[in-house]
Amino acid sequence: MAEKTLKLPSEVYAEIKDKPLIGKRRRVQLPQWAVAWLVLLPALVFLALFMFYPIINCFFMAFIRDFQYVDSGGTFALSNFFRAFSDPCLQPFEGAIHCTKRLGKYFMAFGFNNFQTVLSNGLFLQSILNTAILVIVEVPLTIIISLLIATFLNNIKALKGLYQTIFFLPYVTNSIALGLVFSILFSNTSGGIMNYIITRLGGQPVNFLGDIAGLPYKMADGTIVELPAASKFNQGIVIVVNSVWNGLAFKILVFMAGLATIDKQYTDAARIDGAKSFTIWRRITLPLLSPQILYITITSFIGAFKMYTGVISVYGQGAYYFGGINKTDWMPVVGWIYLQMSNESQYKGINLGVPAAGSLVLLAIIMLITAVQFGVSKKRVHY
Amino acid sequence: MEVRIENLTKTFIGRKGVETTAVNHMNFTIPDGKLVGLLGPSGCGKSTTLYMIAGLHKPTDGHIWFGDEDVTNLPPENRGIGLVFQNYALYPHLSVRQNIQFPLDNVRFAGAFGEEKNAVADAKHDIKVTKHDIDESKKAVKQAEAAIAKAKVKKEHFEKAEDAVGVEECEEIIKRSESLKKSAVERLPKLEAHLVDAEKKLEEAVQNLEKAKVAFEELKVKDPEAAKEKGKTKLSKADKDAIAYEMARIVDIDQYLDRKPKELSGGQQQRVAIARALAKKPKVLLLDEPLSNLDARLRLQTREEIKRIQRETGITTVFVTHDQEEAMSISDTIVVMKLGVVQQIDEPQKVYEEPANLFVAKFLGSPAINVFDGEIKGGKLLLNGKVFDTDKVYGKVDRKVKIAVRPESFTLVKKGGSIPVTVKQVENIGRDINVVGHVEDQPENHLKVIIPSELREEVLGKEKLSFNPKRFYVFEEEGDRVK
Repeated sequence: MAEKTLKLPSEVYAEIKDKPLIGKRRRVQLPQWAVAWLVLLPALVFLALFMFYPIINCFFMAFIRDFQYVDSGGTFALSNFFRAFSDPCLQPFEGAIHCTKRLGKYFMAFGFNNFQTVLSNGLFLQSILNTAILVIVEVPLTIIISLLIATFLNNIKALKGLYQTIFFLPYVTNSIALGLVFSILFSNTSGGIMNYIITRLGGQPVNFLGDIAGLPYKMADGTIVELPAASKFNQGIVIVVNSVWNGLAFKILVFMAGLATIDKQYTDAARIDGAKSFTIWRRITLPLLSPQILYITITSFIGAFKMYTGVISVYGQGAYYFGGINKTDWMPVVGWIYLQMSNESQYKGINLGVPAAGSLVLLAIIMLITAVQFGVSKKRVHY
Repeated sequence: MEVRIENLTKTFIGRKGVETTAVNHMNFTIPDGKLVGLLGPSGCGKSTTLYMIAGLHKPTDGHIWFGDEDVTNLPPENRGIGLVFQNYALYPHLSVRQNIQFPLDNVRFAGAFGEEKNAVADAKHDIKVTKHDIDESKKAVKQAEAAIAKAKVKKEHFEKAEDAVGVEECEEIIKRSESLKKSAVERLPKLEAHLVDAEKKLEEAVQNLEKAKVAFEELKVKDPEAAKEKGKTKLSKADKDAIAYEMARIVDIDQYLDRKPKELSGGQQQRVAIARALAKKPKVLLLDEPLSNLDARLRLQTREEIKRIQRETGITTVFVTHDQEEAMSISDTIVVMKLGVVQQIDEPQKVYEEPANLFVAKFLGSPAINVFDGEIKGGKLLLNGKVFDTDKVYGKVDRKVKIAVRPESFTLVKKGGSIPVTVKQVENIGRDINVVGHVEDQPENHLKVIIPSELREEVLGKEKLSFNPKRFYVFEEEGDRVK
């Protein structure tokens, strides 16, 4: 093969010497900020339509008595504040603070009544408790497990790519599908591997998810055992396992990326300084990974407080089934909010103010916890 | 602590299975308390050598000795070394104090009756090993017996078939097996005796441990303070603070103890790294191009500092650098390396004055040594056909050689010098003058001559000059020195 002969740089310069350059006409140049706005515009339009407007509306709805879609102001919630006094549907707010202030022929249907309804609703309080339990158990568990897996993945050499792919699979899998897989794994039927393992290890089969007593379980020797109804604890195990597994992939990914940025020299130096592997991990790797840990902690807490699919998917019995005879055993806050908007609620889809108020309460909780985390992290995170 | 490198080899296997030998059968000894500079161009394997001494790289072949201890397979944390990385590798989240104390945090004492405990563990280990050896010996006897029986049967078979070769082979096997059996049988009683001994020792060790425990309990009652002191497994905070302060004082950063590394300048970080490496009193201190990230002024200053600290502490030190001036000024001994092979090991001045080969001659000295083409004909050294060296008779073989002269080894003569030079340019550099040009008729061999500036008038404006060498070296074309 003939070698490609390179031109001398002088030849190239000689060739291009007299070629005309592209015209340097003056163009109208927008200032930098205008360009920025222009580029952001499409995103802003969609955000405004589908995010800012609903959020603002939600705020207004929460403070309105008997929010109505069809009213003089269309769906803009603010218009509901001032409604014709003559409207027969409307009654003055009971117990509201600023209610029934007359403004000509309008009065303000404004107050904290929705919040009163929400906070005195036993089911709502129970859903907050449920969510809190799931968050407190799930978040630390999933962070610790993903940290350990990421550390080990970072340390192995052979088949690293394969393991990474395996651990990344949950991320690309539909969470409802994942939930169904877990509901089968924990079931009393032939796919119930968990019960198989428990019985093989000499334990009694467990009803993890079924809400009625007397479900049959076929033991290895052919005898049929009737299971009692699933306790709340048993159901909780399945929900936690499912959501931990569901969240692992992304966290492992973030931790792996974080570990990759840690210079190997630090661990080498620590080894020279006589530190054992665990000491290196605890005193060098963890602090250097703290920005990622903070990020994951905050997003996990937020994600876990918004838990919904993780619960309904393991039951697989519809959008308003959260376990137990009453269908509410592990109802999360988001589940409660959805239920209020559904036809199954006592408000029959009329009063959106109540779920709106519920969302605001959830928002307040999340904001508070995130603020606390940021406060705590200031001392412990090393950038 | 004397460090001995024996036949050290490191081969890296690349992605496509291509082997690269970074260090090739290296041998040298660093005497106790000396500072050795590993010098060579990038990629010559000097850092690899250092990391092998540190234990971060595992040698492919060869041994590393610290004194009488073979540390080749010891992990870095058990070698008792201090290492200063090229970019310091200070832990960014820890303060200077915590950085210096980190090695101290990892120090563990055996505790109140550590010696006795260790003795018990040693005895137990000895018993286990001896038992294993006995089992092995018994197994070997059985195997040898089986082999003999089998060979005897085979031998008969061959005898019947009158296969002389086969018979001989069988006899060979029997002989070998019998000698194996004999040695194993001889070994057995010794091992068994040793086992009895070891068991006795274990008993004693256990008794001693019990005694020590009782004594410690008594001490606890009598003198709680002393007991506490004896029973401690870690350095106390006060001890660590004291050491950290002392180390920081040695490297002159004691006023920055509470700062984070990123709040320090490069030179200060470098000194923290040295303090950290010194904190646990290493047997060997390793420095990996520690000055390469510093500016010129700081580099000079730190260089002297390192030398001072090394003298003060008397720690055997290995220093890696590609800067020949740095190596010359700081080391007691220089090891010059090229492509994983040691070229010369000597005192700095010796390496400069008596280079072992052309590579060493070219690598040391700035500006670099001048090399031009010469010739040996009939035992005489010729340059451009004229006799260059009248004093010495060279070998009989006629061949081309390289003549090398250091820039400062030229003396200007009016006429008839042995090195005729065509001048291209004269540079003033203050104290000296650089004459740049080439040897007559050898335009490809650039030449730089340094002469004192008093000779300025005689040099300026001239196209041709004549020099005599004060000192020169002759090398074979392949680079070896012609003696």
